[in-house]
Amino acid sequence: MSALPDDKKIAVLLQYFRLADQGSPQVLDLFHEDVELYFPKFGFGVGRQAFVEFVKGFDGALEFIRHDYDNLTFIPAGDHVVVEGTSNGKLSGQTWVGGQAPGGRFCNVFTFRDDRIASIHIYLDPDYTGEDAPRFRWGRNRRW
Amino acid sequence: MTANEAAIRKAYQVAEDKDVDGWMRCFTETGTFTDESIGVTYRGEELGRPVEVYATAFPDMHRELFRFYEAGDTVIVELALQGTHKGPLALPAGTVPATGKRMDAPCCDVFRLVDGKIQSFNCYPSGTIILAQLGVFPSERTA
Repeated sequence: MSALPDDKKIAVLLQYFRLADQGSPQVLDLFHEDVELYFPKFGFGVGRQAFVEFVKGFDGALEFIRHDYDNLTFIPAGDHVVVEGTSNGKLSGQTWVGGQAPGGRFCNVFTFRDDRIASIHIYLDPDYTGEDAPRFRWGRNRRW
Repeated sequence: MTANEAAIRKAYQVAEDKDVDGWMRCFTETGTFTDESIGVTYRGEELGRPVEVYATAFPDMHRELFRFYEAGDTVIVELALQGTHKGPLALPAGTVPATGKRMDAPCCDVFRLVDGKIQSFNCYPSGTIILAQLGVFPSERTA
């Protein structure tokens, strides 16, 4: 359970998106040690190290990502906050602009415990720039 | 269970029953259905199109509902889209003939309701996971 008011949860999430876009390791401080992560093709992971592993999957390919902070829709629901939004960025030399192309539209389901993020489930089409097969970065033997 | 959750569970069941008219009656007159993976919004008579397409391609189409969240008149559902590809799958990039392969893909749906009917339905499936599971990557890169 989280007693954190909705506006504080949203403030944490805005910080999450900004730190994630900066590639800052401080983003890990927003998570519980046993944070659960879900991302398509990555599958489920548990713990801050899982988030690090997830980010490493983009090493050498992701030039930048920026979530569209002004167009995020936050839907607080008890201990959960659902966020609909778009991002833009550049991956392997190709850009995407969420909202103008299929890639980059996302819906995240965050769960809070106390004042930190206990889980993040990210739903999107991970084929940001319209390519695909090589983008199974973590292998195909994953639980989806 | 709240009335809104019940309305959404009924809508999923109607879709699973392939009752296209019943599905369309779940929406308000100006209701919309947006497939966020392809950036297409359906409205009016077109609302039934995605249900028809998936029912044709996956006759055993099942939506495994994992978690529901509610905030006022908004209902969010984490689910998996499951089925066996036994018929043609019509996509914007072209039609994929039946492959006989199984789809089991993550999805999140966001419904906004008005008086118990769907005003907007934003669907976030991982389209390329579905295509990968069907083994149709090379020809579907632009999907």
